[in-house]
Amino acid sequence: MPRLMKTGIEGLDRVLCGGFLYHNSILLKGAPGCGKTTLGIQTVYNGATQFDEPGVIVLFEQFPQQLYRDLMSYNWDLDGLVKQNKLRVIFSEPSQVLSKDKMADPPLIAEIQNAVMEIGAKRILVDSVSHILNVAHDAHSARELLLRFINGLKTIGLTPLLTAEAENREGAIGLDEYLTDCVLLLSSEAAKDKTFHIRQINIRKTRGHDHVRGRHVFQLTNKGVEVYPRLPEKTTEDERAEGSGLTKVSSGIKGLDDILGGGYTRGTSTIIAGMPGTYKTTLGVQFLVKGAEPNEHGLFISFSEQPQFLARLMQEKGLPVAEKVKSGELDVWHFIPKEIYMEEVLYRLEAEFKKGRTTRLVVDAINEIERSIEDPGSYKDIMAAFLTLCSAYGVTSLFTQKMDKQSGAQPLADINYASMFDGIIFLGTIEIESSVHKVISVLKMRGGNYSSDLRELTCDAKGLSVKDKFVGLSGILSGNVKGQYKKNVEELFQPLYFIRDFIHMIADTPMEESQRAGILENLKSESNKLVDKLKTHFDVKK
Amino acid sequence: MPKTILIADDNESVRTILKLTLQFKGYNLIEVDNGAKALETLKTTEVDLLISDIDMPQMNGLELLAALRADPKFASLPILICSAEQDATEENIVARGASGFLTKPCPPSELLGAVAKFVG
Repeated sequence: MPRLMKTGIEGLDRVLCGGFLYHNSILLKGAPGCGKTTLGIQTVYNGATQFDEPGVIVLFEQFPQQLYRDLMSYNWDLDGLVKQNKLRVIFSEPSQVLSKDKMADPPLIAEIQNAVMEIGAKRILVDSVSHILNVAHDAHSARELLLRFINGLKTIGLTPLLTAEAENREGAIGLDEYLTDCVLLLSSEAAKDKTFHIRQINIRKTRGHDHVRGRHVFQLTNKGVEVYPRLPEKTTEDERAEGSGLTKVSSGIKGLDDILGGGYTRGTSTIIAGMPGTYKTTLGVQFLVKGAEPNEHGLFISFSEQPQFLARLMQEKGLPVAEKVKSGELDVWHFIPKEIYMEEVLYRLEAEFKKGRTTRLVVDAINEIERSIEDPGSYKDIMAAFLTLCSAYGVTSLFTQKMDKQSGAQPLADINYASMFDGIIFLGTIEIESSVHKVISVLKMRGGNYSSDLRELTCDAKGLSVKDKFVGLSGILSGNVKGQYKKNVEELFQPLYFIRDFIHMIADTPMEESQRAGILENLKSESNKLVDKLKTHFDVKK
Repeated sequence: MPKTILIADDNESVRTILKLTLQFKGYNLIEVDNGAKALETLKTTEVDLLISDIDMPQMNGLELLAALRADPKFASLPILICSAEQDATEENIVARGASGFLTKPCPPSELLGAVAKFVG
């Protein structure tokens, strides 16, 4: 395996399968303002500061002092590097690439060679070669000139990075692309449904070395260029995080742990699907806040609620989100789908997982992911990337999904990509005798036994509780409920038994008049209450 | 001295019926609406019998039963579980340490008979 020249931009090095081959010429091509100069300078700067590889920057249009000033916004002290003999910045004229005669080196190459000898430079950025091409009289001489210049740089031991303006004609391949070994096309376009431009890197070729194909999103951040590889590498079943096994982690709800056979299976991903208002978000938060062991770290990614609003909402349910965030046991990330690339979320998530502290993740809600993706066909890939990441790092995750309709006995039919998830929990509503009840059911859970009972889900100031089965009722999911809810039967029969038994006692048991009067008073009161209950139950008006 | 019975049930109308039934026999009654409150009460008050529902918020009847039986102080406290849970049977509830089990809805005559076995 040949030694590779790292750019020091983590996402880009990953896309480049480790970096560039030394002495390959690299073309950074794109429209003005898309970030090619920043990317080139960052590669040279990182070389000097991280890899002990001094560099040279050749500028044709911008003065060095102006460049130093602009780059201080990234905290890159180029002037300091120059003083430490780790960098040389040459301001030149494009005409300096022209030789006086065919045998002599062009003046610019000679100047660069001096710099290389002074500081031992390994990397060079030339910004931009479009100027060089402009000094040639025709296409043939432009080709000769550029090839000679690139080879001149290689001969003195440099790995050249060359910026170039993109052709105006769509799909056109410039001369510079034929003459260089690696081509990175940078673009910045207005994105559909986004409030900003989407920047992408498309690696057209890397001669002699592999790279990850496809378009990779990048951003200009306050640290310079950040590249978010299209998708994280796939993880095979064998590579799943060690120790995930089939152990269980608490859901934070005792009744749910019981029906899950102890809790969610560690390291698995479960979808929580339900109509609006069925406690999907609360179920996720309770998993992070009440289910976690002391000092266990959880992450909540919200694509809808603002963190402050979420915290207030959950406080009313006895789930102290703000307190957990303050103590460092919980992080809440909030993204507005229109203002974020999913690649960036995945990149940040992987960086978080790499810290090794996060063991629980909730993503609320995946419908927003689907809405934010430009190409609907890539939704499945993005979801697969989320699940792969969680699996690789042994993180137990819940993904909420808002359902538009509840189609009776076939709830799975409305859950997108249900087969991708290890577990599926369905949340719904049912109406029993004019009263709406929330219902929870585990439809699938990989690893261990679970009960597929339909249970009542309630919420109070202490959070969610999973209650009894709907004993006595059938056809709940289809919406065609049959039978009598045993809880209601109990409410009606308990006073009825009381009335019956106490009438017998009055008739059969000797007792004092005052005691008899007391019982009769209770019977009167209970029979009145029973009549009222029956009226409500059977909707009798009089 | 009348015997003291603690009733733990989250359903107020069920608690009322139990109370009226037991008052008939002159028992002294305390009522709470969940297992956690029952546990607190038992720590501070002398009680002769506990009648508990299973499905209650915060701490359910089975958790309460387990907590009490784990504490030597309550090892001999008579505990009568009264529940409508379909999975609950006298056999499996007694196996968990309860002294007796009644299915809800429970006729007062049955309740008084069961209570008499423990507190006379």
